[in-house]
Amino acid sequence: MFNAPASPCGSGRGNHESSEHSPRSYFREQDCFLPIANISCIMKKMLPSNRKIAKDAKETLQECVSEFISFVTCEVSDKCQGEKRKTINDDCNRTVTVLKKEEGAFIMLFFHL
Amino acid sequence: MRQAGAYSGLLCGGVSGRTGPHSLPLARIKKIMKNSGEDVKMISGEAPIIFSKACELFIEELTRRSWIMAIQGKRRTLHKEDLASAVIATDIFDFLITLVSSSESHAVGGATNVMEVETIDCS
Repeated sequence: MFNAPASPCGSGRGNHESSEHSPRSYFREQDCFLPIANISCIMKKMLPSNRKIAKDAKETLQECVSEFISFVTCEVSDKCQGEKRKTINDDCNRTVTVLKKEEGAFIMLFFHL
Repeated sequence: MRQAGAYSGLLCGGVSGRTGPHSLPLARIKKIMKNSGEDVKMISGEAPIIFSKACELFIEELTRRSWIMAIQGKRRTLHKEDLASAVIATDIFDFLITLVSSSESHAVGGATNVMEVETIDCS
């Protein structure tokens, strides 16, 4: 029986790929967002057990989280450029202290990052 | 012998006391960070861990505020409109207004836009 050669990326989806583009150049839409199951899990933890979350709410929050990451990354990146640094790292002591505060943790973290 | 990093406690129950399902995938976070701008080139190992916790807090905060909006509307199901209301009502979520308002305008439809154009023409 004839065995087809394995595709370079191992996914077996080589039929629709043109030869001039490498498999890694493909940008999948789901890579823009965090997994909806993880987000849903965190959301459910915040609500009473008998309450429901609509699918459109989960999808909207999924977009919001990605927007949040992008927004904060851009802010931190600008800060790094201003300080002539090339790597995005973190203000270690301050950030860990912020994370250990329970009340208003998110708001504190947001303004400290 | 290799010592545990300063942030290893964050995803191993150090701060939140939870492990597993609530920790978000770090590789995906790093990918989103890299896609956020051309000038983002180098990202330290600790940054996605911090962002993972930040995202968890962000989801909790936005869900809590959205749930308040759902209660005010006397509903038991959380909808997209509740998220939109929570974003509009909260100053720190200003960066999400364009994202939320664009999704709201799709839901409402084109009739309102036509009305706006007509009023502008009349004036």
